[in-house]
Amino acid sequence: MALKDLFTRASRLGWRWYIVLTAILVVLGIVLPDFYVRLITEMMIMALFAMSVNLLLGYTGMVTFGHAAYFGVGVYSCALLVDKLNVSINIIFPVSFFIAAIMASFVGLVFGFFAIRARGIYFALLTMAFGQLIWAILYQWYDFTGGDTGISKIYPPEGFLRSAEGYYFFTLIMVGLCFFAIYRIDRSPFGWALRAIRENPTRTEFVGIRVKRYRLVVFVLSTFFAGIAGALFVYFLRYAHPHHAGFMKAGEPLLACLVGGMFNFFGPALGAAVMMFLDWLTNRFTEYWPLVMGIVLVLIVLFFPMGIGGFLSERFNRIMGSERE
Amino acid sequence: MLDSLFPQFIAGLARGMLYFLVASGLSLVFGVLGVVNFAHGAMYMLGAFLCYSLMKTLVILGEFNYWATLIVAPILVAIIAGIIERIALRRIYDAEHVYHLLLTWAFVYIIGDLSKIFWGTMPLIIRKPSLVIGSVSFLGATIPGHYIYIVILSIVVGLGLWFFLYGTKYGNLIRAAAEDPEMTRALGINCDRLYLAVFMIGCWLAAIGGVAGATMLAPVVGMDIDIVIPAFIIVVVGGLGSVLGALIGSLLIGLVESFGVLLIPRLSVVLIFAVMAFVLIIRPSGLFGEPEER
Repeated sequence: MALKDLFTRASRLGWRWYIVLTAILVVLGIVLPDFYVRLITEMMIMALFAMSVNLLLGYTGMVTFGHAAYFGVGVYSCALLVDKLNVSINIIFPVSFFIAAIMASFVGLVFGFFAIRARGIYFALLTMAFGQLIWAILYQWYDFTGGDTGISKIYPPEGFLRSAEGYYFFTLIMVGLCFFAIYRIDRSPFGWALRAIRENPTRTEFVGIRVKRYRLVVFVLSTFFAGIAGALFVYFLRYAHPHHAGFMKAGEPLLACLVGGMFNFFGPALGAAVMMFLDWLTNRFTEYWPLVMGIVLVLIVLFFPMGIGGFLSERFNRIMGSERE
Repeated sequence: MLDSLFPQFIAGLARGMLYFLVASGLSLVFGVLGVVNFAHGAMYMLGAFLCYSLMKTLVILGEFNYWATLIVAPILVAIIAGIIERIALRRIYDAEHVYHLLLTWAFVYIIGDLSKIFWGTMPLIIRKPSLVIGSVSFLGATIPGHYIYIVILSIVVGLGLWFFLYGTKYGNLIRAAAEDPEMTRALGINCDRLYLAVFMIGCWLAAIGGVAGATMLAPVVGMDIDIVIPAFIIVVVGGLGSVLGALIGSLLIGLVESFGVLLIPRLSVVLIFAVMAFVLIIRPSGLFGEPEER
């Protein structure tokens, strides 16, 4: 069974899950205590980040190792707006989301323009260099960004939004909207062109699709969503730090895609949630979470290269008896 | 200003040659195995940590404990690397790049965390051998001994590597496997064993860098990321798979870093990434690299 088949079938399952999942999340948001509400909020934000990366990784076959930079641009756009401008947070809060997304996609457009010229591993390493460039600027431009002191006290507006539940539901709506947008991309001719590029760029070019332009567009789209994820994250954490744009952060969404399965629509989101859950779980027993995660990763790469999502969708289809190629 | 240029040049040279020890292994591994090894920095770090521990164990040797360590620690690291290759890496040679990246990334986490358990998070102090202590006056500048030591060691190792790759039968086989693995296999060469050897040699080089670097920088958790990023930049600038490219790239990045701090201190970290982006935009496969097919 080709990867492609797995991907299309999983996508077909997509929207039904969407409604079930939303219903579950709404109930959880009302029922659970604050601590878990915060945990799930962070899961959702990381899920969006992972989904943004998967537009490149899973759909188009472009391995980006510097996406934390665009996440970081989102984080810092909001943090700097709140910190530097002396305007009421009630105005800045909605505006900063737009600016974060636009700034991230603008930076994505500039870097993407150069990055898409490289292919395969060179693309991965070039995106890494650009990512580190952003990190270095955030880290070294002390007067403006505060360097490694970071920027603290980035609160959402007073009232409901500042409570754990309030921000949870806000995140749910924002992430939900973004997921819907990504779902539309997934189903669109554009989405199919991306898969074609992943499978065989040369042939796709022959069909008359401008591969370079498509690569650039999907890169910018991906940075757009990463920027929104960053904006959501900074109001959640209420603190911005250069390592939100750093090398280690850039690996997280890739790992989430791998764990969840990059050829399933919800795979990366599932992966992000599983990773955060494991993080929380192991942190209760030991401080050596990276060790546990590393071992889990090795096992997944070696034995479940399609991730949890790939594994489940195969099982599910077998159980539900739907058509198989 | 001019007075400080020469010492800065020497510092850049030493830094660059240290990078070369690490980057040459990274490049070699990519050239033959086609794997970009994120855990390469972790091997460098292991080298440095083992240097610390072995020097304590071998303290009976007195002054020679460092030199004994220089031999033993890289061999231990190469054995660890061999185990990793056997257990994990060899299963995914045919997989896409992203799996190589993520698998070696996983080992960054594992080795990093294990090092934290064994060696803690504080920087460790190593007693330098007397040959490396002190400094030499040259052209009115004072050059620390460990700079000279690192430069000489790198030259010796680099020449040894060059001789090995171009002057011995085994080296020829490695280059043949890098050029055309299928044909090499068809000629009856055991490529699996060859890959194992190359991965071990690559990590051995990184560990030598770790032991040598320990005289300049105190071993500490996190040093793997600190070195692997410049090492990546170097191999990408020089061209993945090219050891000569790694040498040129190392010197370039070392000097750029060194002079960058002097000339534009506020943007010194940004500078090397800018150099990399610039080279890749002009030559997408690096200075000495061959364009990738897909």
